[in-house]
Amino acid sequence: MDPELLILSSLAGGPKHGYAIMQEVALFSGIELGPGTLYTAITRLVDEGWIEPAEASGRQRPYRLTGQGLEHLREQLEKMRQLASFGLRRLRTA
Amino acid sequence: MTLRNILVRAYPRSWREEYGEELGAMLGQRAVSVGVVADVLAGAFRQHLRRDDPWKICGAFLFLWTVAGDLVNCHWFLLLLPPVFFITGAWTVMRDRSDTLSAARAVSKAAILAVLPDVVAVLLAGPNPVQLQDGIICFRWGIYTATILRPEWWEYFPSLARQVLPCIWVGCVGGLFGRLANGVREGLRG
Repeated sequence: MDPELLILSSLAGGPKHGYAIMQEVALFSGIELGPGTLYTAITRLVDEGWIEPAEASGRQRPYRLTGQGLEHLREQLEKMRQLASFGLRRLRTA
Repeated sequence: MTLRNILVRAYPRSWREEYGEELGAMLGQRAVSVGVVADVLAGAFRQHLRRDDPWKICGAFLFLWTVAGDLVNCHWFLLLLPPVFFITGAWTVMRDRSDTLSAARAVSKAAILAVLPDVVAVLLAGPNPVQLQDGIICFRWGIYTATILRPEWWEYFPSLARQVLPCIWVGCVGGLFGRLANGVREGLRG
């Protein structure tokens, strides 16, 4: 599954720093993102303007979803929902 | 220097300034296995591709390629230079939306990196072991750099322009291709 979508889904629940994102993603998807994969995705999401760094409390900055990011996540999840319902309908008639 | 610091330093400087401290802190919170090292190094490689100038990446690749070519003494290795110069020129123009001159500059810099191993090889081994490759679009500037230091090699100077210019032109053609691609991309966006 796309690491960027996993990160956006995690941040939909509120701002989190990298390590917390990694732990939550492992919890809800069973996918363990490596630090390199995580920060590659975070860099891209920041560059796209879908997430932004929040005020740092320690050495790790938390990130939060932007309005654009929320919209992008909604679109992607809607597409996945349509695909899933189409696939399931096909499976029922197979 | 710890393994954690080495891994963070594998990333480009501009990236480290933004995210280096966070990545370092994260690596400190977990065991650094072989899988984690591979994942972080792959991430560093991707960031170099995203952030570094194309001439540095292509030049570094050609540097290693030339070393390999020198070690096995295989001149057909040089045939890889034109396509890489083409890519360098096209990539530079497409990434920076710049002009063809910037492609020529980028290719010149990549070419200097590409021939550095030859410069060293010629300086160490002397002129005799190196065979000039007339008629191949690629070239070895090392031979000519050595000429400056070895007067008996001056006779080869006229070959310099003949062998250098095609390489720069290949980069310029790449630059033109990059401009065309930029135009098509902008046209598609409407």
